[in-house]
Order: sequence, then C-alpha cells, then structure tokens
Amino acid sequence: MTIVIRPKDRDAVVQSLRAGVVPRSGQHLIQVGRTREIETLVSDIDRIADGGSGFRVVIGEYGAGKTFFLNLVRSVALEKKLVVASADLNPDRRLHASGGQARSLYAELMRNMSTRTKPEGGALAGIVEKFIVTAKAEAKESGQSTDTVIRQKLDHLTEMVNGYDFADVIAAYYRGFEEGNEQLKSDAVRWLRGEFTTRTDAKQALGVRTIVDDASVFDQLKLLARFVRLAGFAGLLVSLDELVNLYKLANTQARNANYEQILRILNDSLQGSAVGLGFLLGGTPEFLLDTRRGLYSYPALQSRLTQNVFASEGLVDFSGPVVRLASLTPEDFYVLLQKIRYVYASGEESKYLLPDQGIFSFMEHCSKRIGDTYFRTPRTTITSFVNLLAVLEQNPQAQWQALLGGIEVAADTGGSADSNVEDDEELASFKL
Amino acid sequence: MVPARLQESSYGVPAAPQESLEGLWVSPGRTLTIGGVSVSGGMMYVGTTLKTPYGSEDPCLIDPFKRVAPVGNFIERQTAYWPSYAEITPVARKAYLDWLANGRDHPEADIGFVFLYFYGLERRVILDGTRDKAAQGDWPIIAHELKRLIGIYGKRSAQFRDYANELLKLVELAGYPAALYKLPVPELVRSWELPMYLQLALGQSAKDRVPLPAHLALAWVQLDPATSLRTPAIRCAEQFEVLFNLKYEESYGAGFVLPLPNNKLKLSYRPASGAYRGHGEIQFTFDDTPNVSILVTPAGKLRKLAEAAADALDPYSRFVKRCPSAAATTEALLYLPVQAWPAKPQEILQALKSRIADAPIALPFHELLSMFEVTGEPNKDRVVALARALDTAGIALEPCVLDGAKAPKTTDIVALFTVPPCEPASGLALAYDNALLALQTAAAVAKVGGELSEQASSYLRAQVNTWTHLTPNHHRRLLANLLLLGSAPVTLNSLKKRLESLEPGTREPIAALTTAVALSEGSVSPAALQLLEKIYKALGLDPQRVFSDVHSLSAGASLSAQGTVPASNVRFKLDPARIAALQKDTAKVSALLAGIFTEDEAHELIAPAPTPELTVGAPQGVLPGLNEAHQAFAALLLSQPSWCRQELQAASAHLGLMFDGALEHLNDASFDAHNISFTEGDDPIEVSPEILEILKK
Repeated sequence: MTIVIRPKDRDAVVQSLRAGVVPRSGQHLIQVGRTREIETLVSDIDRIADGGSGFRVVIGEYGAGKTFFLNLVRSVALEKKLVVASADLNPDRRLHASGGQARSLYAELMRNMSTRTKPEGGALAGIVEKFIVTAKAEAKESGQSTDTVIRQKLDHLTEMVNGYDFADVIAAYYRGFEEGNEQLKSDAVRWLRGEFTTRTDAKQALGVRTIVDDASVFDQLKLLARFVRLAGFAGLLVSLDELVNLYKLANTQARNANYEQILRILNDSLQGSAVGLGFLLGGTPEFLLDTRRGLYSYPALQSRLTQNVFASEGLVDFSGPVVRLASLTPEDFYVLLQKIRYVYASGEESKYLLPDQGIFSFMEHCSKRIGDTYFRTPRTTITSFVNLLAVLEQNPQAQWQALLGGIEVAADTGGSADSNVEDDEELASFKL
Repeated sequence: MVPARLQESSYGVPAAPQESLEGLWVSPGRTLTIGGVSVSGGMMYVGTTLKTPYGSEDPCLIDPFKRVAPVGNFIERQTAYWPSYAEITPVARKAYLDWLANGRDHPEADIGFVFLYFYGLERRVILDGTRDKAAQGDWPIIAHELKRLIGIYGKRSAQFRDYANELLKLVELAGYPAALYKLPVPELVRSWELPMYLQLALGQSAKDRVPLPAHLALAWVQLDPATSLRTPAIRCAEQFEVLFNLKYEESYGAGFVLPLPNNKLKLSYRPASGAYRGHGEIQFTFDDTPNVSILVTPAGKLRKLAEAAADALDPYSRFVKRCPSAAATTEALLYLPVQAWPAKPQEILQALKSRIADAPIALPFHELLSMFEVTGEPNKDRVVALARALDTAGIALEPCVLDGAKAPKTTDIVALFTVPPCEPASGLALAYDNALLALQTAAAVAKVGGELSEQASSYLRAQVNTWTHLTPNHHRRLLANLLLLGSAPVTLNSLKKRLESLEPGTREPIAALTTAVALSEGSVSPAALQLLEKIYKALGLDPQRVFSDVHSLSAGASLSAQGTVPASNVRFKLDPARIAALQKDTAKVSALLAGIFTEDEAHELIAPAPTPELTVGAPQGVLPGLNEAHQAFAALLLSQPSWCRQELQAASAHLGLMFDGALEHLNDASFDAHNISFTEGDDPIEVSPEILEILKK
C-alpha cells in the first residue's frame, strides 16, 4: 500500500531522527510492526473518548521505542480530538511530593498540553477560551448571561475536589476578557497551570481559597478531564515518560508515596470514577519488576499489574494494564530502515537513495563496529543512517558502497544511566 | 603260615593233564570248585594256559592243577609287586581262593589278591571286549564290580584306585550311546584333564554337527582344567548355572557348533597286569569321534561367558558369604541378577515394568522396598543392590545410586523409568549434570509458589526434549528427575555452589531457562523475581538483567537469541521470513494508522466542492461550521499571509472574539474540513500555505 507523505511530516521525521530525538509528528510513517500494541492503545483512546478511562504502563528497555510509542499514541489521541498532556518525570517532577515536585509535574503537564490544532503544547488558554466561546454562543441562543451559562455548565464540577474554585477561575477568565483585564486572564491561566505557590496570592488575585498543590494534582487532572469534555474535546490523555525516576528515588517512603499515587490512579481508572481521562506511563523493566524498588515492591500494585502472559506460546494478552515493548531485533531494524528510506524519498520508490542491499550492508557495518547494540539501542545508528541518506542525496554521483566504510557509528550508552541507582537511604551505614 | 607238609598231605593235587587246557572266562554267577574251595560269582579265567598278546602267560589265570595248600590267610601279605597265580605259594593260592570265595570284600585282604582278581577283569575288557561282542555284555557287571572294589580298596591303595578307575572309565565310555550330548551330564570330578566322558560327549556333538547344548557347555567350563572359575561361580553354583545358561543362550541361541579338528579322540590305557608290562599303552578310539578338548577358541568363548556370569553373581556371592543363612531370602535376591530370580519376584518386576512403560512414575521409596519385601531402613549396599536388580530388568532408579548418588530414605520419593535393553546405559556426563542443574534451578523458581504447576512442568518437559545433545537415556532420567522435583523440596542453597562453579558458556542458557519457567504460568510473582535475582547472582550475571530478561520474554521475544554469542562470531544475517512477517504486520499497522491520520486524497473526496461565486474573503464561505464572527475572523486572517500576535488579538477583540479560543475554533474547523491547520506558529501567526491553495481553488 502507499501512503501519501506530507512534506511537513517528512521533514519532521527526518529532522528529528537526524537530531537523535523521537519525532513529535509523523511517527506513523515509520512505525514498524507492533500492531497489537497499537490496536490496544487505539481502543483505549476510543474508550476515553467515550467517557471511559484508561491506564497503561508501557514497559520497554532503553532503546525499545517507549518514547516513540508514547508519541505515536499521543498523535493518535490528538487526531481523535483528545487533549494530551505529557511530561517526563525527573527528580523535581514527581507524582507525589511535599516539596512542590508534584505541582511542578502538574505545571509541566499544563505547559505541554496540546490539541490537534496545537500539537506543540501551550493549548490550555485555547481550551479555556473554546469553552467560553461555546458557552457564549449558548448564552446568545438562550438569552441568558454568559456567566450564568458558564456556571451552569461547570455546576457538576463543583462537587469534585477543588471544583468550586475551578469554576470560579474559569469565570474569572471570562470576566477578564469581558472587562479587558489581561491581568485577570493571565492570573486565571496561571492558577490553572498550577503556578500559584501560595493560597494568599491566589486569594488576592482571583478570590479563590485553594491552589493546585502537591496533594491535589490528580484531583485537578480529573477536573480538567471533565472540563476539556465540556469544551468540546473528547477527553484528556496524560502521558508520563521516564518513570524510572521514581524507581531511582532513594527514599523508600517517597518512592512508596509515589507508587501509592499510581495505585490511586490505577484504581480510579479501573473503577471508572475518572471520566474521559487516560494515563499512559512509560518505564523500564526494572521500574516495573524490581521487587525492592520497582512497582512490584508495592504489593497492591504488583497484584494489579501482574498480567497473564503466555510468552511460551507467543501469545500476548493485553487485558492487563501493562503493555510490554520487546526490544528491536535486527529484522525490526531492517524494516525500520526501509521505512526511513521510504519517508526520505517522500514515498517515491524511484527516489530511493539506497537499495535493500545497501541497508543490509549498512547494518552489517554497524554490527561489526558496535556489536548488537546497533539495533537494540538504535538512536545513534538511525542518525548515522539518515546522515548517510543526506550525503547520498546531496552527492548524487557518490556510491553508497564507498561511503559505507567511512561512517562512524557510536554505541548509545545512555541506557546505563537508567540502572545507576543510589542505595536506599536507610541502608546507609553510620558510626557513633 | 601253614606248614608245607601238612598242606601237601591233606590236599592232593590232581595230576597235571596231558594236554594243556585253554584258559576260559568264567561268566559272572557261575560257581567253580578249585583246590577244594567253592568259588561263586565267576569273573575269572580258569585253565592251564592263557597267553597274552605278547606271548607270556597271563598272571590272572587260575590253573586248577596248581597245588593249593589246605590253609591260607588272605590278610597276610604274601604276594610280590606283580602277582601271578602261577607263581604264588600254595598257601597264598589258598588264601586267594578263600578271598574270592568269601565275597571278595574283606577290607584287610592283601592288595596283591585284589590286583590278581583285577587282572582278570582287565583282560576281559581290553582283550576279549575289543575282539568279541559277547564279551561286551559283561561290561556293565564289570563296571559295577570295579566300583565296588574301588569302594572297598580305593582308600587303601591309591595305585589300585587309579588302575581301577582307568579301567572303569574305559568300560563306561565303551558302553555309552552314540549321542551322549543328549543326556544330562553325570556328576564328574574336576581333575587335571577334562573328564573323558565329557570329551566324548563334546566330540560326538562335533561329529554330528549339532549345536553344543548349554548343559554341556557349562560342564566344559566347570571341568576344564585350563579354566579357573571365580569364587562366585563355585560358591553359588546353582545360580551360576542359571546365569551361564542364560548368557549362553543370549550369545549363541541354541548353541554353537564345534569345529571338527583332525585330531581324533583317543583313550590311552596302561594295563595294570605285569604281563603287559613293557608294551606301552593301549589306544582306544571312539568311531572317529574328534578330540575337541584341544580347541582353544570355543573354550575361550565359554570362559568369557563364565566370567561375565560370575561377575554378575559377585554381589550375591559376597552377601551369601557374609550371611549364609540369608541366602534364600528375598533380600538376598536383590543381589542376584534378575534373570536368576525365582518366578514370583520376577512377576512383581514385570508388573512394575509395565507400570512405567509409558511414563516414569514417582513413589515413596518404602513402597518400592515393600514390593521386594525389604523392611526397615536399608543401607546403601542394599539400595545399590536393588537399583542394580532393577537395572538388569531395564528399570532405572532415580536418584541414580548406581552412579554414586546418595541413597534415598524410606520416606523419600523416588522415580522409576524404563531403559530399553538395546541401549547402552550412558554414564552421567557433564552435559547431563548441567542439564540436571538447569532443571533443578528452574524447578526451584517454578516452585516458589509451593507447587510445581502443570504449565511449568510441561514447559520443562518440552524443553528437555529439545536438548538434542543428550542421549535418550539422559532425557528419560531428566524427565524422571522432573517428576521428583515436583515432590521434593529444592532450595537455592543446595544449588548455589554448583551454579557458581559452572563454565561461563553454560550460565546463560540456565538463566534463560529459569526465567522462561518463571514465566510459564503467565506471570512472575515477586518471590520468584527475587529468587531469579539470586540465581543470576550465583551464576555471576548482573541481577539487574533479570528484569530485562523477564520483560523480553513477556514481550514475546526469545532469550536464547540474545547475548549468548558475540555478534562478531557469527556471520551477519537476517531472517527473511521474519522480515516478511514484519512487513506484513507493518502494512497492517500502517493501514490502521492511516485510517486515523486521514490523508489528503481522502479529504478531497469528502470535502464539498467550493461554490464558483465564492471569493476569497467572502464571510460565509471560508470554512463550513463557523458563525459570523469567526467567518469574519477567518476572512481577516486570509487577507495577509503573516500576522503579528498582538495585531490579531486586537482584531479579534474588535470582532468580540476571544483570541485563543477563536484560533482554536478556526483551526479545528479547518482540520475537520481539510485535515490541515488554518494557521501555524504562535507569534508571528502564519496562514498555512496549503489552506490558501485549497481556498483559492
């Protein structure tokens, strides 16, 4: 089959790959295999769009394509009119904390909030305004005041945690617009983004008694999920990557508090109390499986995450909340390079810069240079390949055979950082 | 001594006849009166002359005309070394005749008289017997008489015994039928040469070209002076016979046919009688019957069988030596090769064998012991004996006590499995040890939850069958072990040392197997994961790798393909079938995704054709689904390719619109209609060139 490749997507893909990062769009052009995994996530998204909930932990080794997968799912979700909030966890951004790290994660999520029309993030204001616009139109039709319509619409949010203040903030935004009060508008957005750090400030600026703090992040996301639906979107997908950072937390209590938060999210999703809200967590196998520090160290999570996998028969069951991404095989990698070549040639076979044999030789070359890491952590190898294509494109007279020998390939060793973990704090020895 | 005068006066001697009277054989049972003595029983030569083939007078001849004293005492020694009736004194003659008349059995009689009598028997056999068929009729009686004499005088005179035995042999052999090998072998004595009887029987079988019967073969090895039988064969002769016969049948079926040597069987006879002195031995042949006792090869073959049989009997023999009273008990049987068992325990064994014909079984050890009536806690010796007994019946016991494994306790569970007889029992090789260790390690992980699940054990069974580097015997033993692993506890500590000392090459496969087993039930429990970590550590692998491996396996990859062989060592190659499958899968996923990311061409079919009168900027026609204000905003945007954010914000406020919301709304409508965004960028905001193009149309 042929897929028409938009120049925009092509450039996005090629440039990202050359830079060694996962493309933000056009991932579907170079997706290799994983039909079942993708089908699973697409059906998740459909369920969220239907007002359901979703929870998936995407587990894969370094280089297995977790981020690529998350981004692809994100693109699919956007395409299906979901709002996607994504963020990478790091030591300062956690699901649970008492020092503002959770709020910091929330703020990051809000900054990266994207819609189909704003795939690069920063869509929060647009979403709020879209809601108000809709309310305004309704008000016009029914002859009520816009403020009343807004209040009516947000009425059922008020029974939720922070719901009352949330409605107040949206109303404040509208007021700011009506009154031409830019300060009020930006304060409202700042509140929604979780950028108020003290209640006093929030009270002064918006007249609300609460702020989004460490403890209310999840509740706030639940509120938002309902809100985006009121604004005309299908739902909210929260995509969290690099969960290995929770695994790396040295303090057992802090770690467990975070895992408890995950358990809460998981329970809410499975019980269906979250409406139109989906979570997607990306992590490494040890994050999931380590019985001392991983999710499996938290028995309640372990029992819910243990899934029925009959690996011996090659059957994979995706009814459990864990989606496992196998590391790439040389064959996967081969097909991936074919796809990249295809995208590079904008889908025209006549413009292929390299024959199949060339791809094979390229892989052989890499294999000799850096062993089998070339396909299991393919970031650097892909960059080299795209570079090779670029050289061939710019020098039509050049022979690929001649170029191959001169290609430098470096092994991608970034994965080792994932497993570098400090010892638990409580295990430190001390002397009196 | 009786005075000579008195002798002569009392008993006159009849005058010597004019003509000589040819000496005749007095047939057994006849009574004659000689010198006044009535001699009953016959079996002597009487006459005046009896020549030997060499011309001299035969000393045995009783000349009735010779003087006989009236009194004689046969207890007294009165004969020379070579006695002769003609030459002894009348007193001695009287004594001899008295001896003959008085039952010929006085134990203290002068041995010379016995010899004298014997000479007659000898002549009857070696001279008359060979010439005259009728004389052969006396042979059985002579044989009987010889045996009687040997019984009485054999002990007193070794010389007599030897002569008499020789003659007896001759008489007996001459009287045997032509197919001696068909008869059971009588009791024979082992001596410096193979008994003549046996030689004859063997020779006859060779001559008739019939297979050597087992009982004859057995007699040969037992009596062959060149073969020295080992103690077990002698101590437990009965069992030895059974085993030897079995082995003979096993190796040669009905028996092998002895070759025909040119050498004929001969019997040399050295007569006792002085009359034959100096004329050497007399040779007897047996109708061209060959002499097979000189053959080396057949004797060697039989010797080998005897040795094997004796070896098999060794444990039993030792046991019998230790406790002779227990030789007949069931326990003693354990030391005996199964073939030599009585019927009842054999039946038990066969029943057991049919029980394990299809699959190995596990049972408490005491149950097995009670089958063979062994009570109490058996010592290692007995367990080994039992294992050996089972082994000969084609049943192997696990734990493998025959190879030095610790003997199980009565409460332990043991496994039994078949070993086909044609297959040589392969010893416990290193490969097997490693395989077993792998199995035990895997079972330890699989049993973390308590029980070895059906999935885990069937997975392991399947795995064992794929280990083609092991012999079928090893496979069976491993499967039996698997059965045991299900019931006996396995602790990591017991395996640790062996895991640590493994060769580097064998570590990865064990890790892979163990991980796969942990997953065989579909999920890994935290306890199993922890154990896996410990195992990896013991194997010298990074414990962190457990997570990667478990993950890869659960994601459907196989472990064995990874990391075991450095990439540089194998020729770089790709699997075309996998590529094809992947490309198919990829095409599927592309179709799935293409359905989501609707493409331009699809949109062109759906999008309503713009009405011709529509001009750029016309408020109602820019995009469908927008209200007046938004249409105006869109038209405004189209008037200029690039906008500064502030400028537009002001413009939207003028139209009574919220800027971000309006933009969102516009873009959304654009996506719905044309699948592309209306504007791009945040500041400056650019109108998408594609939308311009579409709208221009």
